[in-house]
Amino acid sequence: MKIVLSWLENYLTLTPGTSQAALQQALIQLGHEVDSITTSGQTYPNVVIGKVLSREQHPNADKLGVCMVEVGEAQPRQIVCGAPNARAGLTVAVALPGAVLPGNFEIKTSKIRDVESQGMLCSQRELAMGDEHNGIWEIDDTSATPGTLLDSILPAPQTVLDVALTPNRGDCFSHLGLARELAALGLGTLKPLPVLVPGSAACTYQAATSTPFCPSINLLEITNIRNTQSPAPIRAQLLAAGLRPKNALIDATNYTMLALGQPLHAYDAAKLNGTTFTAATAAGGESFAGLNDTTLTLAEGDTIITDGATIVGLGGILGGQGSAVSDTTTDVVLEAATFNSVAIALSGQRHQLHTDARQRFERGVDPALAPYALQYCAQLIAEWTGGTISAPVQEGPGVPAPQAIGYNPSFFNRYIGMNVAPDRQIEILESLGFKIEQIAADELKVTPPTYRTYMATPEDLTEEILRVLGYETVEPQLPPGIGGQFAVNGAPVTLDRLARRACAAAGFLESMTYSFIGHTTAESFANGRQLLTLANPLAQTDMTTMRPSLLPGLVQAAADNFAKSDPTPRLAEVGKVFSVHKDTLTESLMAAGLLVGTGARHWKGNEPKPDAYAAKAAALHILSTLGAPTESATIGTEVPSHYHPGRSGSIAVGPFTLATFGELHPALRKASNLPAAAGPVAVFELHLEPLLKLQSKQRPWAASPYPPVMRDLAFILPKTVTAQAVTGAIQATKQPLLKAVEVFDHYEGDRIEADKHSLAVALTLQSAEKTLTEADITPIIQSAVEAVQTQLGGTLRA
Amino acid sequence: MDIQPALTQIPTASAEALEALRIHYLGQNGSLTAEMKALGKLDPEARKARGAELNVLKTQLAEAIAARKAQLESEALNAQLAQEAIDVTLPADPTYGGRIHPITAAMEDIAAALRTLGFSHAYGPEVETDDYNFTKLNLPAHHPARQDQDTFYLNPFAVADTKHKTQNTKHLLRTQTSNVQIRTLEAVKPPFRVMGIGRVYRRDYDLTHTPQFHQVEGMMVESGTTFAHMRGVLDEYLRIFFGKPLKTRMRPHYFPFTEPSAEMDVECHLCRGAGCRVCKHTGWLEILGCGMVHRNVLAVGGLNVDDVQGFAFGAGVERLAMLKYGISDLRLFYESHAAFLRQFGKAAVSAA
Repeated sequence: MKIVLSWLENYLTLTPGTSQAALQQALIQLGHEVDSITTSGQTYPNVVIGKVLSREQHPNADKLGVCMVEVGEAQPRQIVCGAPNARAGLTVAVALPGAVLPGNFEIKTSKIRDVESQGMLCSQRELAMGDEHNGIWEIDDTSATPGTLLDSILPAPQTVLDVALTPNRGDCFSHLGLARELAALGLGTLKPLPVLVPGSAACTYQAATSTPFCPSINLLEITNIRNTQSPAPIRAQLLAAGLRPKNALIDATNYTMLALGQPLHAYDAAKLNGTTFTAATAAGGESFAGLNDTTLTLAEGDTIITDGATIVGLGGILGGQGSAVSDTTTDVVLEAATFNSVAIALSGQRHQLHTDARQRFERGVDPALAPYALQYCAQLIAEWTGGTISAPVQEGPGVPAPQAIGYNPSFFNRYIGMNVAPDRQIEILESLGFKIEQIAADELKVTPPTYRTYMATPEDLTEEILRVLGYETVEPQLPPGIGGQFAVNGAPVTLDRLARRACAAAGFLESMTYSFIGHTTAESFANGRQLLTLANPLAQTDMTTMRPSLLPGLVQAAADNFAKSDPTPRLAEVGKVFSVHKDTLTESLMAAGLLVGTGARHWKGNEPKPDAYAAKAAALHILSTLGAPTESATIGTEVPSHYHPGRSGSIAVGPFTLATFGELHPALRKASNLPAAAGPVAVFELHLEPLLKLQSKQRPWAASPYPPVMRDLAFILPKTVTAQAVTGAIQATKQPLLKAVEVFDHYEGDRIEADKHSLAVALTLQSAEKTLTEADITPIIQSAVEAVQTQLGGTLRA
Repeated sequence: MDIQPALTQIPTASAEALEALRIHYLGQNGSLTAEMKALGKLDPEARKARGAELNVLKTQLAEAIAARKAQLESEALNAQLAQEAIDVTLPADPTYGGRIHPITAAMEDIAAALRTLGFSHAYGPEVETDDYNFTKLNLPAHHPARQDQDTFYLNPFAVADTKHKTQNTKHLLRTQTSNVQIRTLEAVKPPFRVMGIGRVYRRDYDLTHTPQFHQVEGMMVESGTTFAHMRGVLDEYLRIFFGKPLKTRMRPHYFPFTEPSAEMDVECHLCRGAGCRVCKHTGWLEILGCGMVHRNVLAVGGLNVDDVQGFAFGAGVERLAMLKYGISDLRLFYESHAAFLRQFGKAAVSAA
C-alpha cells in the first residue's frame, strides 16, 4: 500500500524532527516492510511559464513555426516550434537553455534550419507528466506570470512510502491504520478524528440484509450535487497513492477507503429501480454486469446487493455497471457495509476479481468502522459538490464484540525467553488499543480493538508486545543439549545426497532440469504409464507434465550445450520422477546419466564413442559407490521403450531392478536437438529407493596365504548364448575352490561360423588350506567345460 | 710386474677394451692370475712378501676396472634416458571432471550446519495434498496468504479423486517445504529438531523467479524452546553456513503457521551494510522467515502449547547459494550450461 506522508499527517502529529529514515525504521520494526520511499511529481529547474506573443511561418520549413515567447525577460525569446497548436496567446511551459528534461535531454540554444531557437516549448510527454504529445501543453492557468518557474503552479511533490502489508493486517490498509501503529511506537500522537454530525433529512432508501455474510449494511443519500472534480490537493494525494482521480464521487469513496480503510460504494440514484438496498446470498446463475466491463455469472455463496429490483453490486468486491455514477449524477446513494472475510475471499477467487475492496474485506475490515466512514465520505462529497446529506440508515445484526483473551504476563518470558515487566506489557498493549482488565496478579483479560480482527491467542499478544519492543531486543540464546533426537538420519536424504556425489565421482556434471516437461516428450518416455499433468501450467508448452523420467531433461540439456558450442560428455541428474499406476501416484527418486561424443580431439587418438557398455559401466560404478551388492547383479533385457531394443539392458539384484542402461532409442535420438555428428547417445537410469532394502552383506576378512591359480578357457558358442549364460553355467557347478569367473575376450567374425561367437573366460581357483596341484585343478576345469558343452552347446576352442 | 700402463688406459677405456684388459690381467689365464698361481712354488717367506705385493696390484686393478665399468653403465643409462625424453608440454589425457550442482552443494552445506546444531533430516513428497501444504499449516482455503504462493495444481489422476473431490485432497506441487513440519508432527513426539531440504514449486516465471526452486525448513520443538533460542540457533546456523559471523536482524512478519512471526535479514555481504545495488541500498538482504510454531499447527501433532513450544524457519536455497558462491542470476541454476556447472559445481570430494 502506498502511504502519502502529507496524508498520514492528517491523522498523526509526527514528533518534530522525525526523519524519513526513522519512519522507515519504525515501520520495519513493526512488521511493515517499506519497499521504497519516493517523491511523486518531478521538479523542473530552468523550465518556466511563457506566453506566446506571435507565431510566424519558418522561412525554410513547412511544418515549423517561429514563436516569440514572453518569459519575464527584457526581450521575448525566439523559439522554433513544430507543434500544430502553437499560436499566439497560449500559456506554455518553456524549457530554457540549461534545462535537462526527463530522459536526460538537455536544452541548448541552437539553429534550426538557419533560424536561432532560444529554448523549447514542451509537450506534457516531454515533461513526463502524461502521454499527451499531439502538441505543446496548453496550460489552463492563464493567470500564471511569465518567467516564474513551472514548479510554482504544479502540485507540491508528495513523499510516498510503499509499504508491503502482510495479509493479517487488514487494519493497516489505510493511512489511519498506519498512523495508529506509528503512534503506538511513540513516533507521534494520534489526532482525534473529526466529530461528524449526521444529516437530518429522512432517507428515501431502506436497507436490509438476509445473509450472514453481510452482518451490517449502512446507507444514506445525498441529493442535488454537482459531480465535478475533487479539489486539487486531494487529487494530488490520490495520484500519489496510486489511484487515478476521476470525479468527486468516486474520488471521495476512494479517499475514504485509503484514509480509514472502509471500502464504500456510490450508486447513481437516477439509475436505481427500487428503494430497498438488500444484501442477500446469490442463488447462483444470475448475470451481473460489473464496473470492470465484464459480465459475471454469479455462483451460490456470492453476496449480492440489490436495490430491491436489480442486482447493483457483488457485495464487498465490485459495483454494478448499471448504477454507476457519472459526471452528470445529481443524486447519489452511498453504501458502507461489513462483509464476512471468508465469503469474500472465496467469491473473489471464484470470479478472479482483484479489487481494492476485496483486498481489504478478505483481510478484515474493522466491523465498527462502517457508520463513521459513511458519514466521513458523505461529508467530503457535500463539501466538494454541494448537496444535502440524509440521515443514515443501518440494518443487520452486526458483528459480535471481540472476545477477551486470557493472558498471564509471565507467559511472555516462558514463550519468548525474555523478561518484560507486566506493567510494561500492559502499557504496550494499551498503546495498541487493547483494553486490559486485571483479574489477578497473574491473570489479565485483554480485549483487542475491533479493528484487530485476527487476535485470538496469548501468542498473538506476545507478538504485539515484541513488535513494539523490537525483535532486536531479544538476546540470542543457544538451547541446552545439542544432539540429534532422531535415531538415524533419514535414509532417502542420505541416498539422494550420496547419489549426486557418486555421479560426480563417476565423472558426471550434475544438472538440474525442471520437474515438468512437454506432454508429447513425456509420453515418449512414459513407457505406457499414466502421466501426471498440471491443472494450471505456465504458458510454456514445455512445462505442462510431470516428468516420468529424468532423461528428457538431460537430452535437452546436452543439446543446449551443443548449441552453446560447449558440449559436455557426461551429464547426470538426481531427482524425482512422477507417474500414476492404478489410480495411485508414484513419486520416486532416481538418478540418470547421459553420455555423448562431443567430437573432442586429442593427439593420442579420438575419444571413444560412448555405447551401451559405457553406460553400463557408469551405472554399475555408481550403484556400487552407493553400496549396492553389484557383484551379485544379474543383467536382463527388459527395458522401457525409450531405449534401443537391441542395445540396452537392466541390472537387477534379487527381486529389485536397480538400473536400465543402453543407447537411447534411435527415433528419440533423431527427434532430439542433438547434432547428428554427436552419434548415438548412451544413457542409464538408476532406481535409488530399492537400495534402501539392499545391504551389502558383511563378510569376514579371509585372505588366503596360498596363491590363486588362473586358467583360461575359450568356447565357440551359438550367438544366442550370452556371456552371462556362460559365466552362470560355470558358477552353477558350485565348485568350492572356484572363486571367480570372468569374461576377458569376445570374438565374432570371419574366422568362425556366422551364427557362432567365441567367448574366453578366466577362472580363478584358490584354497585357504594349501597350494593347489593339477590333481585339484583338473576336475574343476573339466566340470566347467562340461557344463558349457552340455547346457549351452559350446565347444572348447583349440 | 708393471700395471701402470693398464691403470692409465682404464679411465678412458671403452667397454670392450675394459673387458679385454680385465681378461689380460685378471682372467683365468691372465698374467696377474698366472703370477698368483706361481706363488706356491716360492718358499714361505718369499711367498708371503710376493703374495702381499700381488694382492695390492690385483685390488688396484679390480677397483679401477669396477669404477670405469660403473661410469660406463651410468653413461649408457643417461644416453638411453635422453633418448626416451618426451614433450611434457603436450596436453594431458582427457579426464571426466564430475561435479555436483551448486544447489546440491548449498543443500549439503546447509545440512552440515544444521547437523552441528542437532537437527536431523526428514523427507517429504513433492506432490502434496492441499491438506498438508496449506490447511494443516493453519491456512484454510479462503486464507489470503495463499495468494502469495501461486500454486501449481495437478489434474485429478484417480477415479476416486474426480468423484469425491474436496479441497483438502486436491493434489498440488508443494509450494514450501513446510509440509515436512506436519509430517514430522504427525510421526514424531517432541523433543525434536528436524530439517527438511528439497524442491518446491510456484507458478511464477520471470527474471527473478523460476517455477521450481529449493527450500530448507527447520523445526525445533521442546518443552522450553523460546523465541530467544530461535534467534540464537538461526544466528549460529548462518554463521556456520557462511563461514564467518554476519550481522543479522529480525523484523516482525506474518506467516499463518507461526506466532509471533519474523523475517531475518543478513548484512549485505557486498557492501557490508553500507548500501549497494544488490541490497537495494538498504544494507540488508532478506534471508529467511521464521517464528514460534502456531498452536493450531502443534495441535496437528496432538501437542498443546501449554506443554511444548517450538520454532520453525524456512529459507530459499537458491538465495543462500547465490550469496555464498557469488552467483548473480537465478535462472543459471536450471540451464545446465556445462561451463557454469564446471565453474560453480563442487567436486565429489570436497570440504563440508
